[in-house]
Amino acid sequence: MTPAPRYRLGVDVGGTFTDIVLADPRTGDLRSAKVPSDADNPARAVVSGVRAVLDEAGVRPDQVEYFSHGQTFALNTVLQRSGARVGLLVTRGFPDLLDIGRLRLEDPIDLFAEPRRSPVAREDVREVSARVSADGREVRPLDAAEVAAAADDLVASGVEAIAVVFLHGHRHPAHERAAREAVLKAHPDLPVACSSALWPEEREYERGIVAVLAAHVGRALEGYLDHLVRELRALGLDCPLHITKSNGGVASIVHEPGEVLRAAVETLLSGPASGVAGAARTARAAGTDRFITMDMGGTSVDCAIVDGAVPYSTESSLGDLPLIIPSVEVSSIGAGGGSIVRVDAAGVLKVGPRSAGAFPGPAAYLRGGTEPTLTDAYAVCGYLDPSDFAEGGVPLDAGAARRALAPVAAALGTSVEEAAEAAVAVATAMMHAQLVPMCAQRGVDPGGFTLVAYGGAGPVQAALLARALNTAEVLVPASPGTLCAYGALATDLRTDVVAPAPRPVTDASLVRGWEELEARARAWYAAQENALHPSVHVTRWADVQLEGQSFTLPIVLPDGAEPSVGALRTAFARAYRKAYSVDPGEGALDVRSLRVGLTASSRMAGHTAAGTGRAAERIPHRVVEGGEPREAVVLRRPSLAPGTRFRGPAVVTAPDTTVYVPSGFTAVVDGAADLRIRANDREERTERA
Amino acid sequence: MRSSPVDLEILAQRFSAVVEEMAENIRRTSFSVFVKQTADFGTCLVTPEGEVFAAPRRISGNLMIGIPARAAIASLAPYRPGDIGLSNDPDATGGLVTHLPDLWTWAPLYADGEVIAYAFSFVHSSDIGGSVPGSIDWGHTDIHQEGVLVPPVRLVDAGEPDRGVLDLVTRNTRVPDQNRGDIEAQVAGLRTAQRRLDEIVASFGVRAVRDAMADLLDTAERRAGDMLGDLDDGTYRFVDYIEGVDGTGDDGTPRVEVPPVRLSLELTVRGRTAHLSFAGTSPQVLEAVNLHTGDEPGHYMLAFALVNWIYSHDRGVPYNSGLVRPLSALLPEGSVLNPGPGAPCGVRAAVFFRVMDLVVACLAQARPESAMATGAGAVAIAAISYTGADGRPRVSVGQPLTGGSGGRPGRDGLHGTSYMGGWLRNVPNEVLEDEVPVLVEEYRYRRGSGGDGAWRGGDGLVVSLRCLEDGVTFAVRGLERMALQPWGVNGGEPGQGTRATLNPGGPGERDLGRVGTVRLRAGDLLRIETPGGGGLGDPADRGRDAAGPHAPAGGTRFSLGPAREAADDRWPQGVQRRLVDAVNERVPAAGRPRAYRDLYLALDRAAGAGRVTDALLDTALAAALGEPSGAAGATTTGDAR
Repeated sequence: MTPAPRYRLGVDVGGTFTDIVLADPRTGDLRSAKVPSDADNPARAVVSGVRAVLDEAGVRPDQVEYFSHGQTFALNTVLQRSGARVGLLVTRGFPDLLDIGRLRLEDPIDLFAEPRRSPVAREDVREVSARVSADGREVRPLDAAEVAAAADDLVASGVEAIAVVFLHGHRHPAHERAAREAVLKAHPDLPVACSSALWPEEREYERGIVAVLAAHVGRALEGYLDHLVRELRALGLDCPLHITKSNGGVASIVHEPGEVLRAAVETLLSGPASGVAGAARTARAAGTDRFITMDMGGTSVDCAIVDGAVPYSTESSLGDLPLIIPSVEVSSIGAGGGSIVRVDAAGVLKVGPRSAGAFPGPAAYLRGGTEPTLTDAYAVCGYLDPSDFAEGGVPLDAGAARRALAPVAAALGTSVEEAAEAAVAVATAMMHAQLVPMCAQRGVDPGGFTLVAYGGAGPVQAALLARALNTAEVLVPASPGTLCAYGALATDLRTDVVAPAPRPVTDASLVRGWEELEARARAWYAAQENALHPSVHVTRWADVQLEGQSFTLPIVLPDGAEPSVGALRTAFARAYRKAYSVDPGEGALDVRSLRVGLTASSRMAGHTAAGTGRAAERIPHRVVEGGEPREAVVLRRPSLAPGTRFRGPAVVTAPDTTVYVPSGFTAVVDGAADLRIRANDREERTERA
Repeated sequence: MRSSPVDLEILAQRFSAVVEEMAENIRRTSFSVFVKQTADFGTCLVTPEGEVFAAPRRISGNLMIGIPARAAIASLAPYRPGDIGLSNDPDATGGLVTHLPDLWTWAPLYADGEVIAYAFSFVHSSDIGGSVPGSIDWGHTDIHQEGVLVPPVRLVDAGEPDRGVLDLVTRNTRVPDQNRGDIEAQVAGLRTAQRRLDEIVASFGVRAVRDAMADLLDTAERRAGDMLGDLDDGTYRFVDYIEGVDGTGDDGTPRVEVPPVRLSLELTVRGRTAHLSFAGTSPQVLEAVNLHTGDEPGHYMLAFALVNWIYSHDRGVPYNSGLVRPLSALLPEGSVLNPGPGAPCGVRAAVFFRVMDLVVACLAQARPESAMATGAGAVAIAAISYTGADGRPRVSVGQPLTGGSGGRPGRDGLHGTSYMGGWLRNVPNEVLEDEVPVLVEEYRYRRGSGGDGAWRGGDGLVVSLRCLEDGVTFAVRGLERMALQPWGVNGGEPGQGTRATLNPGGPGERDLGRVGTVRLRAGDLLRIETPGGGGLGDPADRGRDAAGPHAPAGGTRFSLGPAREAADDRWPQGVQRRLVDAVNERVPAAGRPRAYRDLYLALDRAAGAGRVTDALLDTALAAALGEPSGAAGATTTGDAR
């Protein structure tokens, strides 16, 4: 008797929906489900969704070999500042460290700019006299009694967790460690987050924020995960359990207090990162490694520009707080399906920046929204099909959309259809205007790229944006609505570690520095439930600048290169020329930090679509193009067999999204059931080639 | 409007994409620390008539609205496709360039064989040659000390780069490779602009593009006019200063060594227009603070506060030079705001900041219920240098010395930063300590330094550096408001002024004034306290409903602080004005800087501890310039006390 087949589960808890994907790793077959999220008890939606998917597939819980979970709990806790009240122990002379930040104003010409909101109240800051100089000399010793008194005082005033940030702690952590011990001695159960332990990188403000966020979120996340784990075990899942991280990878859910603090700060931006991980898998399986991900929801379009490798940023942000832990670089464009359409005081048509959000949402959703949104404009233009929208879970009332847009049309002196199409054109121009500089920042021209569209509205808008950007192709994955959950189950185990660069920098000290980091990364890997992620790959990199400069470049040591000053210099010169178009010359290198990234990938077959064996039905439909109604067709995506080809205008409906293929574009269903949309002139070029 | 409301918005977005893309290209590929750290660069698109119709908003330090582009455009006309111009010459570009480190480039943009626009960009270079590294020094008295001057020249001629020009310029600077990289980054940006414009024209047609350019400018003009129309008609006046240098005479008594620079604004609002008269402003000065405006009424460094004010109240306004169309100005020829050829100008930012104060003060009078107090009014950049035992020189750019902003209607001022220099990033103190042998003992808000008020001024900063080794040099330019405090409004108190102290509380305690350069020894403590912003409204109204925006009874009142009051008492405004006018009327332009200074110092000394009177002025003028021809200048104004 052959053993029962094994399955993997990926779950993504979003604000509105909890998505579940079940995969057969041998065949690549996927099954997915969407259940409403439960804000009060997110685990409940996870468990009910998992149970539903397993039941539908006829899979027993003990057949699940792997479970990976993406959550927004930690991020929401930070954005709402609803976690622990944090007290800060900081070097004397720097009580306003978190408030001053990096000083720069977000919009320095706005006379009414709001002040930065420090995550620690001024009265919860205590200055500590311990001090070391940059070279590690102890200027003033740590006074354990002083620290304990400060902690007593903070706890007595209601502080629930403590962050410790001392100058030069990244290089000389002894004082931070001693302070932590002094606090724990008096308050053994208090979460205490040290900047040096969590993320030993130079820059006291940003490192301090890491510690403060860990302290703020740690205990709450622990409670959340404990509860989830108990529920999943009760359901009968006995497999390894993982959590997605901001770096696009996953880690095992572990209990040790230090690991909980680490998880708290390493998972904050995991949602968009998993989406990119899922999009990247899909795009690569489709044969492209130059693509722009386009995740369009109600309020924004999240984009990652992938030119070969998934981009990582050490300068991410959460609201107005910086996050220096490497995260998949995702940039937001402020327009989404809920963006409000209006005519401004000067009579000009505008889309956004205000959004109707999920509630009341677009007028067409009949949830009480009366202001016209971009989604209403799509509905009026026929780019959505009311008879097959979101599996009937959300109503789509084109009449309500028309009524909401009527005042806009009146102000413009046009028909409602023309006004709706104009709103879509303005939204497209806005997205184009924001995406072009993002591409320029990375030195890429979008012309050669593929747009990978997902999220509720992405596939509606993508071809129009592709036309403005002149991109090669739009790729709509087979399950664009559950790409984050898919990314969660398909992605690698991944960790990033950092340490201050050795002094002095020599061949030997580089070898030793990277060896120590690699040992840390490998120890992490060994502590993971890693049986399904056997292929380990280690990347060594460093933050390097020329002496006297104040901007480092991330320098990756090529695989197989022996760590040496020479190898680093060669790699630096290459990166330098790419960034500045000039040669770095003979100047001395200034190496600030060493880093190691460890990834361990899982083996999973790419999924292949099964043909339905019959030609897809083409339902007559009308869309607005060029201000005029045009004959179009609606196709039901589940009925589309691989190889199906059709020309726009066409609307493709699916349970999780709607795809709009405008005139001038041709769509093809590929072997993985992805939809590939190209402009006809490009399509013809390809066919001739 | 010529364009449909839809095309207008779409083309506005497309134009914005062009300038933002140019900007990102420069940010990515340029070398300069000013680009990376302070975003001191810019890009824009200009109509053939020289008006900016698109400028990026995401680049914070970007000052593009109101650049005078006509002179630069005309200087190289006629153009051929592929031409690119380069200049850093304030005189030859009619005030497009305001100091030499700003290297400007521009290119004609063609559609259907005709020039339909120009693309412009600049980068603040780290060094453009001249007498000091970095090329900027308050003490420069001649523009030739400030670096290599490049009159408008074709850097690229019909697509052919002129290597000779590039070599000549870069060879005369201390960082030739950086400058070459920065200029090449700009060239790449300008070429992108032509490519993107081609795409736009292909999609929308030339006609629609031209219409949108004109309509965007008209829309901005109309909305700026609307906002000015909301102000009460009238004339509003304010005088403020760049501080001079006080020293001590041979007998130990304090005396003025460099006079303050007087900046005077009379803002007249009439209907939908505003006239800015700067009559009464000091003649150009010997120090490098002169602001070359090319006599352009809407010059970007004069109009910035008004543009900010409009933008802050109407965030959807098109961000272009239409905003400055309703402005006219009187910029006295030969004054510090419209100096003659060759006036040194490296530190012109000091004047630029103070003009913002003048505008804010006049607006406070024009619409009292939305009056704002002023902020720190200065941005100083410090450099800490040190040569170690290994002989290796090290320089660190210290913390930007910005101060608090003023109280705003309904909001306290911001701590530690303001709309002047709000784009500056600080340096992690860990990095600073690693680069130079100092211990940062304090980097914190200067509590209580913001002026009290219903809406308080933001606090300044305290930066204390303990020097760990001999031979550390601390150089700072741009400190202002040492004596003359950031003013409060309508009962709000002034903020505390700048204070720079060596060894505070110790035996060698010394007030360092505006510092300049100071050499430190091991153990020395240098403390710099930046100004707090002025307060707005009566402190007694703090937290009460009464603190809401409302027009104060009896008009707008300023709290200027005791030093300014004493100065006005000693040097009555009427006398100051007569001195300025007399020098302007009776001294040939070339001699005015020296004559104004000499007369000022002579009068100050003649008055001793007393007041500078009209009679003293008459005597001094007669002695220095002889009897005035025509009508007597000595119409006493009742200040004969």
